[in-house]
Amino acid sequence: MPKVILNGEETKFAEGETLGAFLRSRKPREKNLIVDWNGRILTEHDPLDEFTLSDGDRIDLFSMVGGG
Amino acid sequence: MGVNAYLDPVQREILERAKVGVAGLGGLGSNVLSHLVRAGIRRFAAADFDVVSASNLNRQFFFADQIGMKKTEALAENLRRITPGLELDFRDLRLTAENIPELFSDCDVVVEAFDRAEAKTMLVAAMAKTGIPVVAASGLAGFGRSDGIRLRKVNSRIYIAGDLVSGISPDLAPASPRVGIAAAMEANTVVALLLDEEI
Repeated sequence: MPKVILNGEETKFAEGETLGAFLRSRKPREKNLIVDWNGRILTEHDPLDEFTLSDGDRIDLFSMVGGG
Repeated sequence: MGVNAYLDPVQREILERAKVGVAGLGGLGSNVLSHLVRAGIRRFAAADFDVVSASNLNRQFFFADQIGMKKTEALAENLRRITPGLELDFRDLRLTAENIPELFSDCDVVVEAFDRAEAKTMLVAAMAKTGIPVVAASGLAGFGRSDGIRLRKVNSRIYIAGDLVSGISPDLAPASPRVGIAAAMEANTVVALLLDEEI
């Protein structure tokens, strides 16, 4: 089974799974994420369901929460 | 000399020439600017559409006799009491994904200092497209847990100060000490980026 490196840890994903589907299944309650996908900076406003994951992809998630 | 007394001539020139953008003039932005002015930076672009309210005074760099003033005007006044002659392009407007790149286009680094999580994400994403470094904050409400506030490096142009989890809620209010740690961390990162020091 192919794997991505999610926040530094190997995580399995299904062949053909999109970045959007991956995030919904692993981080269902997370909102306002900054997503670094192989160096590309994305948010939920980007078309995450159009990006298909590949074995070895790096995904780093940073949660933005309110307050300032 | 003033705020420059401790800088060497090279550092002084870099900081005096630099221009820093600040998105939001609340608990983060007002305190970040106070730090950056004291660090010797003189040129800023910033925006906020709000006025000073009594509930701001628990953490923001405003005073009781400024309640009701536009934050842009009140903060300009306060910062010029530290260093007269600052170059302040402060706009009384709501920042959007459309106007952010224009307002900050000639900045060397931009500070995310919003209150709402959606606005924070929007600013970081908008700045990522420009290539201009951005220093953001996430997770700073409540008291204690000082060591939980850390600087996270997304990449060489995006940094986030905070614990990434302590959002404001009915049980977790923003307060001066912890917001101040995050604001100081943001300001410290800005100066390090400008001076090419270790982040």
